[in-house]
Amino acid sequence: MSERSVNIQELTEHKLLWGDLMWVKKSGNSTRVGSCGEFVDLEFVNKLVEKEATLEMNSYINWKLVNEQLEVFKKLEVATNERERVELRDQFWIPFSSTFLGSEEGSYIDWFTICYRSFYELPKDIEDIYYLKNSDALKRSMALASMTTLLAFAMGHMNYSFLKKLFNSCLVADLDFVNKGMSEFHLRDLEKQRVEQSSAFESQLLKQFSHHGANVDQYLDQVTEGEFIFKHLVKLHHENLSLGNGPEGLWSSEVGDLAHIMSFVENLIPYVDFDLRKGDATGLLTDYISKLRGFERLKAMMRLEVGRTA
Amino acid sequence: MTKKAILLSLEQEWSSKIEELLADCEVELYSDELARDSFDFVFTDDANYEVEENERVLIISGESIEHPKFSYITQEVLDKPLIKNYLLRFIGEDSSINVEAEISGEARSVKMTEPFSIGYYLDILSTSIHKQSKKFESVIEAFVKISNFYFSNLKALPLDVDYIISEDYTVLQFHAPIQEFSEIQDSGELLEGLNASLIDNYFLKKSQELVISLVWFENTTTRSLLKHHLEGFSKASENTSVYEGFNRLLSLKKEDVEFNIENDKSEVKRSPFSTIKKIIDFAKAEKDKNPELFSLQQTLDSYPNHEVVKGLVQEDIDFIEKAVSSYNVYDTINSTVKGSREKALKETDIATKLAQALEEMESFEAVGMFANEDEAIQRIAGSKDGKEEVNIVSGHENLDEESQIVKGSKEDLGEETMLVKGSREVIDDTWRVKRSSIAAKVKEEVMRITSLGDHSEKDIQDRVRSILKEELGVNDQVANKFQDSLVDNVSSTMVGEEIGSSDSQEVFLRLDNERLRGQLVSKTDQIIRMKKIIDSMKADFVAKKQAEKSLMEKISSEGADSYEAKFKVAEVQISALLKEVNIKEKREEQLINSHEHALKNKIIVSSYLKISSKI
Repeated sequence: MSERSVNIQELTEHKLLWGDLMWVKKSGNSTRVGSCGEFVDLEFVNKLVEKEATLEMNSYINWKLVNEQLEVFKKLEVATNERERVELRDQFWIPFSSTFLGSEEGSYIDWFTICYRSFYELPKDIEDIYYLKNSDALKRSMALASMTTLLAFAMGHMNYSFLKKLFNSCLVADLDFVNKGMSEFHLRDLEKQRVEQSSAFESQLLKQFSHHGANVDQYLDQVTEGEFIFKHLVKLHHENLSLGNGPEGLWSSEVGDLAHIMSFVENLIPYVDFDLRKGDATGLLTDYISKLRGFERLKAMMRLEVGRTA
Repeated sequence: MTKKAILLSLEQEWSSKIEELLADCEVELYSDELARDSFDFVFTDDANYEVEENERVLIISGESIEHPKFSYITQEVLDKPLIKNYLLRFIGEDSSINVEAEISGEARSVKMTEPFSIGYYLDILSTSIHKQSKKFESVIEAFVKISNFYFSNLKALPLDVDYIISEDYTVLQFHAPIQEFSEIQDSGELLEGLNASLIDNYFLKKSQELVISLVWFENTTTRSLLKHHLEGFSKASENTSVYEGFNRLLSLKKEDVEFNIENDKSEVKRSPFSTIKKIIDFAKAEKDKNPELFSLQQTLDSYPNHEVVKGLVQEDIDFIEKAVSSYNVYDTINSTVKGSREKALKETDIATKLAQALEEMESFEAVGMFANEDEAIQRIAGSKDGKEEVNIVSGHENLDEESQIVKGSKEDLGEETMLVKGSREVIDDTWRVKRSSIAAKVKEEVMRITSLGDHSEKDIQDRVRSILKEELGVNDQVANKFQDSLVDNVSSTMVGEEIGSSDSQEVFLRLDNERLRGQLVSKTDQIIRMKKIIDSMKADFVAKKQAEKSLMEKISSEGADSYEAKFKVAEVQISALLKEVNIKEKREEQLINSHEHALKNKIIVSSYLKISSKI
């Protein structure tokens, strides 16, 4: 953990907190005013700063990894051919796999920060909906969007513009639910169903929201260019593909890998608060991800392409 | 599910071939065109077949025929090994858009997220095919044409391309979700220009995936084309094994357990839920008699049916222990079983199931229905000492004065075959005979009632009760106990079938979910009321924040001169407002906490089990 002062400009630029934000008063006493992985409440923090206090960040992030990977995604943005992209994916794949598929320590916050700083482009009006109605939902959407995008990249979707749209599409996937009043109780019910992997949206409380993925087209148009694929994927993000009892009743044999990744990540990310500092590199996620259908194909493809570019 | 009707209007050789390919399917094959008004599918060698409404036609011929409307397949291709997969998919049998799930061979996959990446993947594909296949040019041409079709005509990105290259065949498959169903029509011209042994073009309506799959068999010269629409795939053979263990992984925190794949007990054969339920009831009764001295191991040792106990695996024992030690778990199990009684009595084969439940009722269970053992012996064996009647159950004549061979062949009985002696053993055997005769009567009578059609669950229960009264000579109270036990057994068998072979945690969670579903409905109103209060508080909070903001803006807009004075006033106002907001936030928190308490029952047992599973 490292501590350093942060200013309001830096926070305005990067709203996703990469550590715990501390409000240090003149007396030297400090109070935590934001937790790692949350979105900063700028209005509130502005008020604090006006009181001649200072802000410090207790950062848990691995900046070396983050900066290296930010560089990878910057290069991906300007890459002009697939061979370059494949080489960049190789540079991404090694640390990604050692975090999530290996046994080394890793952290969610590193990778979510990389995604946030590489892809995040949520319009202010959409941000405000989250801030006013349910900022916890934005934190979860960030996690969902990050893991979906990283896995899509790993699985061979290497166009930067596509990944960016995918990321921002995931951020608005639950917006209809949030708009209509997603509460703590909904989140708890969703978490119970996620853990049990029971039929999605069975409870009375959730039934009315079962098709929320199909009601966000207006927001998707804002973050994409209206492409059908993103509307399609968001519509399917709650499919329970192993049991065929999600909102659209689809099975894994009926969809491609992207829909599979969306559904997989939806099941992966908890609805209750979770600690982004710790990550999940202890082997638990390794088993989880390696069971993702298509993973073996990914490995085969990686071998093929590494051989090709060597 | 109704069987698909298929007309085979073909020469005998090809009819037989089709019959062989469809042997495992739920289809009815007809050779007589007049056998039905219409068919789901018509396999014919007549290219001019006059199609009835909704019939889908497949022409099977010696040569490629290029029919504008119908799918067609050549006899040459019909002999190839992969054809069965394609033919079954054509008639709507289970399939998958993932080639590796359908076709053996090492599958490779690429994702194209922009049109300019065609060249890169074409290079890779070319290199692989050039080494292994003689169909190099056709495959490459198809790859480029179809990729461009998806990108340019359908605007479908990203595009999944899978391929398998083997000595006997090359498979190339494209799929992507498309917006409009009618777009498949546009593929006609494209398909006509492709040169492959077999082209399968289908649209999956449910997932909106447009799939074009091509196969090049070595040493073939003809071309076949299947073009069809499917609602979705049948789920009969859906492989969910990759997700096994996901629930367990997700429900545990990483610090709780180190997941070891070798610990996966999916291979272990679990005892049926109905059997476990009986042991749980037995153990619970033992525990209630003397909670302080209760020992599960001793109870299991004393369970009258030792063979059943021997068959328990650790998962079963864990589950029994949880059920016996936690009232919530026990209550959940009982509520679920009781809750399924009505459904069980509506089952079409309830007569057989009740008879089966009676056949499975052990003598100790039957004895337990009576006020005391003496009465039980009297009613079941016909005497108090149980020695007056010699019982030949079936099979051999008696071997000696007090010995019997229990019915059935040696192979059938196995562990159950035993030489029995003494009064208790006589009760066992007498009960076996008695229960069989009662079961036969119950089955016959209940079948008669259900065959009449117009009956209620009560009719069945009344009849079963009266049979038990007649056959055992017992009063209403005892007959009711017997009848309840039988229906519960049918219900728990049904619940067990629904649960499948899940692990103990999943079993409980599923049962708990059933129970909570009912509770949740009544909670919903409460939650909605609560939410209204919370929403109004939030709105209050936001309004005050906005008021605060506008006050600040007003102060700053009035210039620096009045700023200081007004700021102090405003600061006091803001401070007062913030205090009020704090108070309301605390009230909101209190409300949430109190509701959390109300919902605690929902999660308490789940938490318990998570901890238990760690142990």
